[in-house]
Amino acid sequence: MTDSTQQAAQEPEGKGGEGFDETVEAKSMLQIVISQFRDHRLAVVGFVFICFFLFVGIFADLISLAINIDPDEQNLTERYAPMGSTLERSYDQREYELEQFAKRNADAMPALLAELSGAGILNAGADNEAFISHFAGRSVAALPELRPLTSEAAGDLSSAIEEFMTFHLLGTDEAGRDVLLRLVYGTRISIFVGIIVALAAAIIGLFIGSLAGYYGGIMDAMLMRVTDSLIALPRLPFMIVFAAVDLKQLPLLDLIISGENESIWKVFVVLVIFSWMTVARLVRGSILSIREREFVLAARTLGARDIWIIFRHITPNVIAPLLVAVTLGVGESILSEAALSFLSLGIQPPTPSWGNMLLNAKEMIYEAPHLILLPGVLILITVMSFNFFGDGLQDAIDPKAIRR
Amino acid sequence: MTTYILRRFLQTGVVVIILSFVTFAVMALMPGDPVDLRASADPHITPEDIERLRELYGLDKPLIIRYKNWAMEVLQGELGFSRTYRIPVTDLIGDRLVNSVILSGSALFVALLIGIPLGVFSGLKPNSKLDYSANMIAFAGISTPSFFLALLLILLFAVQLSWFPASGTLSPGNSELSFFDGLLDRLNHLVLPMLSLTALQMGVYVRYSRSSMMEAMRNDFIRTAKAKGMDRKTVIWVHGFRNALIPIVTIVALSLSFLFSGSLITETVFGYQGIGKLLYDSIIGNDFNVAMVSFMITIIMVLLMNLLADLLYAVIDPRISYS
Repeated sequence: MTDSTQQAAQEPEGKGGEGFDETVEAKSMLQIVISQFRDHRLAVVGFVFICFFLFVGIFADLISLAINIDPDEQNLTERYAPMGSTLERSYDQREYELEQFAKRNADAMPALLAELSGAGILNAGADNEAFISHFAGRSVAALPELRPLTSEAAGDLSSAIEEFMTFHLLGTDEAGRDVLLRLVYGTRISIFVGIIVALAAAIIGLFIGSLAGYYGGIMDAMLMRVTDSLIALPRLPFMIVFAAVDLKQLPLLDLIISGENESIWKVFVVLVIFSWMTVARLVRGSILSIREREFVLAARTLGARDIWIIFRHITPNVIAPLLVAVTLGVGESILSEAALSFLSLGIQPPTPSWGNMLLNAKEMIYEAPHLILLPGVLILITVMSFNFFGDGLQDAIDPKAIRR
Repeated sequence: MTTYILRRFLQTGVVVIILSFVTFAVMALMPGDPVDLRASADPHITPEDIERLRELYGLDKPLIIRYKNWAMEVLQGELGFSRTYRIPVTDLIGDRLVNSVILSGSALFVALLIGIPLGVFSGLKPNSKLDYSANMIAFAGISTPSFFLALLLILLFAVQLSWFPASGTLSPGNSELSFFDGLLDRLNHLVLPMLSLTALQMGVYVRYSRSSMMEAMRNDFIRTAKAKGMDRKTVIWVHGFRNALIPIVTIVALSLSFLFSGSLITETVFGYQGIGKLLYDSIIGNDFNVAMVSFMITIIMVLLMNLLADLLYAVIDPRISYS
């Protein structure tokens, strides 16, 4: 990036050197790009939203820690709780937390048990099991009983029991999971898939486009025939077929589609197969014009090899439009991922993605309409943000559009 | 021109053959072949039976031979049997195609009917209030994901207001209604999916017709016509609009292919029995024969419509020639 901006910065200044107005402060290319980008108000808004979503996605685990809920924690007695409800954790979860408490405070447990039976809360001679089942059953109702006890362990127990109540800002979904956290983790998945798909597609497109553009002839005709036919095809039916079959049976792909996040990698492969064409066309077009320029001829005269010329001399000149294509590609990939997940062919539950959250919410459209609105609006905002950002970027880095 | 058309038809034919093979090969990767599915439903089946069934259906042969057998049968009009519906695929496809064409065709019609005038008028008065709101509508339509828009429409018109049914093509017992009531019932089911598709497409038409109208009105001959003191209406409609029409018709021709491929999600969300939903259901239900045929129909239609669009260019714009 810095390479190309420096190159580009020297060009216009060199040309306009004589008529240079001394009162105008000289600006570097980067400054010009930034100031032009700022003029595009919606693009700036989009950029802010993208940063916010990136932040949320990266720090999803910290958010989960901060509100002390696990995104996969189910609570089947509290399904479809409304927004802003405070709920009691399920019995299993309470039992689990008490077990953890007993394990953490193994040394203090005998004293605590003696204290509890002394106060008449537990029977004399009660063991850990009786302790766990008593407090898991009584839950927060046990808090007043514990108040008179003064020991440190009893205080810890009280605060552990207080955590049996959880606050759900956006309510709970069909399995009693916290909707806010599902959305947060969905953000992580959707943005991550969108970005890596767009990057991988750009790399493949760059490769194919440079081969076709640089060598021309039969290579160009063949590669571009394939690219054009793929562009002309309707994407969605093809993606559905590819997403439905067992791609792992193919060689090479079984290396990518594996491990615990299999469905994510499968979506990745399917989306990449159908999204590299735009970049390939773009790169080929730019190379066709750059190939004839003097600096390429100079490099060849000096004995540079083809690979070197493509990656060292031609690629930097394609980076600006490529960047725009990648940005717009991220939005499109997020949309396609959501569509596939919505058709239950994308990211598989329990991994949350905005698309599969919408699918689950569809079943309960009468009972919990807000479950449809939340992920849907997030998809809409994200896709629009990337589109606006891409538009603004395009205007900002286009040398023809520079205003001084 | 004739040789060009012939060449294009030939090319399209070759592409269809290649694609049908690729699709056949990809669909062969579906988890579980018909015999596996049958074996899992029958606890008494022995491995020998499975072997025999495979041989009977020719599933033990290599891919290329299976493809050849399938292609031969399809060419003779034998589309096979649907595994999930238990009827021949031929009986299934016709109705679905008609339903899809009704849905997408009406959506296209309404989108054009609203979109083009909206675009043309906002192109005549750039930066007016009308232009501003038309732009907003266009942008909202283009950016909203089809599945979300469909769900929103269901939420508003079916759940909150209960004006229209949330899903389906016809009410149960539709065949017993009188002709008029039956038609009304069909229309009632059509409204929401049609609205959803219309909103998605309209934005594109608004944008295109706006920009091409602006472009047309910038021509020198428009200034000349105005200078001659010609009637404003004549200038706009006879001189401006007719020239603006060329790019509009091309984009409409291109979107004809959308008639067959774009409504898959909308049909699925609304449970509308079109070809897109059939394709989706058959893929989810491992119904190989139906999936293959409905997929190929979709692809062939799209390619033919693209071809039609190419040929239309030449008819509309005399400057383009393919000789």
